Amino acid sequence: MINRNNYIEFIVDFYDGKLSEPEKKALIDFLSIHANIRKEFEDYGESFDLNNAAEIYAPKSLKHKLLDIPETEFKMSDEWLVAFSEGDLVGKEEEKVRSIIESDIYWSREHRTMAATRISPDRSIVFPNKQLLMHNEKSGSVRRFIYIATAAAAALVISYLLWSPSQPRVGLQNNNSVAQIDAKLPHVTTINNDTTKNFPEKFYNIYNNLPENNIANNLSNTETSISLMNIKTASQLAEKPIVLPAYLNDKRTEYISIYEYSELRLAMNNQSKEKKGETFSDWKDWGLALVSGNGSVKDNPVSDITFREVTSFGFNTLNNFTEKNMSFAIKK
Amino acid sequence: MDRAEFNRCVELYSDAVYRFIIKHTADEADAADIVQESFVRLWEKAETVNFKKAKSYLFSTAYHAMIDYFRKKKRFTGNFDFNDDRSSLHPASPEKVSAFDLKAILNEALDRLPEIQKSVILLRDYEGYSYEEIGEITNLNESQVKVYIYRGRIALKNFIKHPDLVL
Repeated sequence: MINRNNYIEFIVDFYDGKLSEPEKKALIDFLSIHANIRKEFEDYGESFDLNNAAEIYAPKSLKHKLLDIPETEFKMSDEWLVAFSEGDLVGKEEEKVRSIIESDIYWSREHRTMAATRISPDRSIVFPNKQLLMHNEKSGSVRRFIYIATAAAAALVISYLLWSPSQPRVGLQNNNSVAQIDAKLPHVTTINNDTTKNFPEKFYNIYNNLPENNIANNLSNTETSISLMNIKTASQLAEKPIVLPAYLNDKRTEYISIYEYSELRLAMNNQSKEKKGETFSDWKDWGLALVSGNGSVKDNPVSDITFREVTSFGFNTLNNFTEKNMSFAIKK
Repeated sequence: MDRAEFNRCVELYSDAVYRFIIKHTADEADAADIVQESFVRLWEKAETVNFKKAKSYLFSTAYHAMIDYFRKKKRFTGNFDFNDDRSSLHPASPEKVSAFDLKAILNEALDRLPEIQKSVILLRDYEGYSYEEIGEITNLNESQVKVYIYRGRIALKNFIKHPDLVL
């Protein structure tokens, strides 16, 4: 370690080419902060160049020569003061500076001033987000809680997807009431679709007037229109007021639509329902049996309605009534 | 470094790093962001950074994050230049230093130092780092650190040597 006591040897060795790279670096660093020594270093270097070349290759003699130079008078400076304050001085240098500070009023004051430049941290300043930085390992119970909560959330989502009231269901799953229908069921319906804007009028014609020659075409239009009807969700059904006729002991109404459909089919085929033998009571009984689980689709009074027709037509028609805020009770 | 050691680092060093940074930024939120960023980087390097080296790693990361922060904010306050080693200070207005409050005066003087001198002096005084350690943190060599500390000390000393100030 180079210091003020041994720097001369470093200087000599430097000019003799004996210093390693780290030692050279240390010497240069040392000289960079000791301006007066750097001056010595440069002066010695210049003197070597001017002297006999043989001396350059005689390091021992040079070393002795340098060491024989009488020590210059110590001169106190800010450099020494800072070095002393920073604790960089050792040995004689430290003692010398200390004695000057203790004896000289000016340097004593300077030293106190220098000591006052020490900055102490304000312990009241603390990092506010310490807990956020912590990486806490989750305990077993917390992990178990998270697992259970996640499972419960997943179950809720699945249940919602399976049983959400906003999901369109086949008619058999609807649970809505309907007003009384003890009269002839008119076929009032409204269709938003432009392609079927004439549907209600045609539908009335089919049902009430039964024009003989246009039945086939009208049926075609009707079926197309039915398939294009907007399907509303069953949740709207739940919002409707429940008006349960006394003679109906079941809230489900799909069979009414099926009954209408059946009648429509009979009309289009120019068949008399009496000919087939079914009556509204027959349909009601079949519907109640169907929704209560005691009957099947194929047991319907006309026996030619498919399950697909029962489900799709019944559902669509029912929802169409719902969409228009209609009920079977007010249709007439 | 494992999780426990990292948490220990948070306990031990977060306040110190925060104090060091806030002295430069003078903004609590920005200082907190820089400290958090430093700890995030430490955690990312947890496998390679030894617990014993964590403190200097944190200070070094925070110091360089702070430099980036200043560059992004383009904060030029007249003495902001990390390569600036000026030691001369603008004389403070007498009103500001008339009160006998050494700490306030010192803070005033500190704020007037070039950033690099301020950094090395804070690292030296706050944390007691050696010249070599300060050099590692600030990417300076040992002699440069000494020079900056010397110039900073002299500047502080000259600043607080107000005629009315008797120490």
